[in-house]
Amino acid sequence: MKSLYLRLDKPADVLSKDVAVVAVFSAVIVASDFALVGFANIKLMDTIVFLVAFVFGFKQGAAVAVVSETVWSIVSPWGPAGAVAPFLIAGELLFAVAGWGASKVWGTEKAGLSPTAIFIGATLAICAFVWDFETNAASALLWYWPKLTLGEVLGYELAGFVFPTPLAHELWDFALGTFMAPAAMLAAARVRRV
Amino acid sequence: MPSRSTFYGVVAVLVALLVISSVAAVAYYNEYQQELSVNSHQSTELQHLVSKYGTSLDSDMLVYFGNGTRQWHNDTQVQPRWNLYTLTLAVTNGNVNSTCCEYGSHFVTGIYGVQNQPSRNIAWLSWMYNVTGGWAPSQLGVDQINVYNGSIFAWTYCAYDPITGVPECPAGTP
Repeated sequence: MKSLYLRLDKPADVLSKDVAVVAVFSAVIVASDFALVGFANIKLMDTIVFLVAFVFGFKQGAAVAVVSETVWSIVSPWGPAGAVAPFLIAGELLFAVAGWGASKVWGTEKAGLSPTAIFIGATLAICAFVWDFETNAASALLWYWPKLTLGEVLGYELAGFVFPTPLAHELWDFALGTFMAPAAMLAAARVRRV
Repeated sequence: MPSRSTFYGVVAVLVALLVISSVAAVAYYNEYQQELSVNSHQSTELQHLVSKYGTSLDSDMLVYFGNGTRQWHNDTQVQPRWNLYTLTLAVTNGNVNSTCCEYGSHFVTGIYGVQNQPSRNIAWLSWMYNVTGGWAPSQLGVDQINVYNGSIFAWTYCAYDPITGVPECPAGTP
């Protein structure tokens, strides 16, 4: 694997296919974020980042996560995310890691419709929970810094898990992951043949 | 024997179920605590109101037939969110004729069988009693006049100015 330094030093080494993948999926994510703005915490971003990493690899998934979350942190209708933006991006990278890991475990399966779809949905739901947990902790960190205590973090976590937002986030990621996984598995098989 | 990938998948599903049920439990707990707080606040407020005003809400109403006959209906038990139309129905046992709802409210055309006479500019007109200002003709439709504990209303059957609508009841009425 070539280092990031080498890639930046020799832009010609960056495959145009990778650039296209990152550009197209980042655009789809940001457009769908705007389309789903009325539904709090229900977005295609998590699932698409996961599936890009699953199909094309970790670097592509991570690039889509960084680009789309950065754009959304700046141009969101609710205003710029501010200091919490790096934590949002870091949280989104988790989906790329999970997608890459999932491809190592379940990526070789050919059958689109199988229990593996549910396994992938479950993995996405776990990632959604970790994302919620991490961003709540980050909010507490930014609010109370430098006098942060464990109790304040726990208070923020409890307050953050109010109905229905986080539950909708996890259930939505589970459902979308489950329904989109078969397509991703079939696509992964084709990409590997190319 | 299940493969390793199936094992990881089952573990992922179990952890996801644990996570989702835990989040649902925390969300329910938060909701419960919030409702408990709201309920406690409202209970305190209700106790304060009961100690201040008592438990019964009642209202008085005069029906003046324009021929010297007056009927007082005192201490009518009323419910929160009643309006003058509801109270009139309750007081008269439903002996009210009305049209609805040309101006967003009922328009009373008769009480106890005594009908309005538009050709003679005579109609049932509603009044409200104010401790400081005395009787005053109602400015709103009967559905828009809320009834509170201790409210006093009157219906008078008398003439009105056809242009201004101002009642021209005999002096001293209602």
